[in-house]
Amino acid sequence: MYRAIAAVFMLAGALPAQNTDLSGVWVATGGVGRVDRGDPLASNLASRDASLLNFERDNALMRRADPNKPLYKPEFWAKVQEFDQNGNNADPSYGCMPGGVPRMGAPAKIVQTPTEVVFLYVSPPAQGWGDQYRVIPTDGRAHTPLQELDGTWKGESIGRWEGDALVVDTIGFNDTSWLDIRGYFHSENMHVVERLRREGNTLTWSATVEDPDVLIRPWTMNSRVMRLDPDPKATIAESLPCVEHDLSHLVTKEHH
Amino acid sequence: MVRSLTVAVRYWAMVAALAAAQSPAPRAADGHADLSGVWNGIVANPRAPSTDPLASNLPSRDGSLANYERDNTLLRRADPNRPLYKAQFWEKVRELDQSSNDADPSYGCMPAGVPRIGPPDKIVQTPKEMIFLYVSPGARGWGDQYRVIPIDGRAHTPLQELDGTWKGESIGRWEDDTLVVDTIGFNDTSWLDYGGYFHSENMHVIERIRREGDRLIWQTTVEDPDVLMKPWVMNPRVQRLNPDPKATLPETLPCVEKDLSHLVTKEHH
Repeated sequence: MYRAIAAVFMLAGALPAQNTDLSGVWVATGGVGRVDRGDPLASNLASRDASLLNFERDNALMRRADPNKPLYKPEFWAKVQEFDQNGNNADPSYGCMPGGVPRMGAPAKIVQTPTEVVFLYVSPPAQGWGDQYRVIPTDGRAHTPLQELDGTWKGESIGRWEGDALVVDTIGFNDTSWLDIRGYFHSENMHVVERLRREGNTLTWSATVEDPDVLIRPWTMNSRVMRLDPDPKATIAESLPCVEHDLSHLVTKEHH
Repeated sequence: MVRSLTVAVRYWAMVAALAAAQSPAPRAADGHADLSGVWNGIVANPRAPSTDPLASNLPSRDGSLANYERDNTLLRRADPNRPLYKAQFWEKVRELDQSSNDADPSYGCMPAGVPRIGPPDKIVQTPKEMIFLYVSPGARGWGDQYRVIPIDGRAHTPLQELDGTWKGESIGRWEDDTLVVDTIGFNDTSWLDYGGYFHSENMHVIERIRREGDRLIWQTTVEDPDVLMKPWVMNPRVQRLNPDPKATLPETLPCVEKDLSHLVTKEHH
């Protein structure tokens, strides 16, 4: 009897771990343009009536009013303010540069194999960052030592499963990308930990930014909730390429 | 004796090379050929004048990077394999070619599009879809590019319902061990290559990708009866598997358009 149980456990141990299936197309809202007021996903379309009509104005206002901000050391307060007031020139995303991690947010589509997870992004047309992808190994490898990494927009991401959650650990950044609008810069020593947890047909993405060089303490970003596209043949739209032409026509320096 | 030994060694080396080239592709769990992996392997010794057929990936006088940019353009312009345009478009192609620095969309940080984007640098394979990931050449800086290619037996969306895009709508299918990727639904902005090789929105691209041992062979045909006299069969390209199971792709540098205003001639070099 004990032997039989032991054999079952040994067999289970020999089988590959069955990880949560995160694969699919994940959409930020329940539908096109308008979501119900009571729907918690409405938080993804931050505007007075959850419609696209007032999105651009209201979204910037709400982000500025959000009390959840990265807390910079006092010696960097002036720098953040200056960047913010020169957002149209200083913000790299405004010059067609990539969003980078974690600003690029949650993926629009996830492809999962036993050894890696691929995140595919559809860039918001207004920012026009074009195609972005991330290949995240989940094969148990360790990070390359930081000093051997060239700092990049996406950094070096390594994934691991913690119960039902995929934890993506990223180091090796450049110091060019921002965390968000408003001048939120970071150092090359930034460390980002993203957690993706699936519950039924929703996926919750949350991220914590550690950067002791410039931040007083880690910044836990607002989590984002996405819903699985129920269409098994769902596709993701091609991102419009970024066109820099607008920049020279802008008359103010601050983002709205 | 020495001579015959040399001949024998050469013979067996050739047999071994042929065997390697013809070795069947490994299998994925669902029984199809396994095309997954990082396909950015380069020629073993790029400085040596090479008899390696993969040297065609680095077309320069000595197989080195030193003369790559000059020689590559010359070789491509000398290549007799060109798309054959209908007579009424000859003038347009020539004009686009001579104004390339303004007219070529890839020079203004636009995506390359299919088929100009070429073979993928990495393939992720599942039973339902193939993911092609691309690392753009640094000199052109097109940034990340990916393609999601369903192989679940679906049909194309009718052409008139598709918005024309750079990548179009790609559908894949297996023909024995060859992955056939069929793409329609293009914009008419992308080019097929340098040289002003434009196309219409009715372009139809068929890519055939097969694996032989550690090599990936990409062969592509462009059909565009609106502007071409006959389908254009592009030169095949061969990629080598990166043998490191932990191989990663480098991050592509983003495109910076600044150079454009400093250029004094209009033609590509």
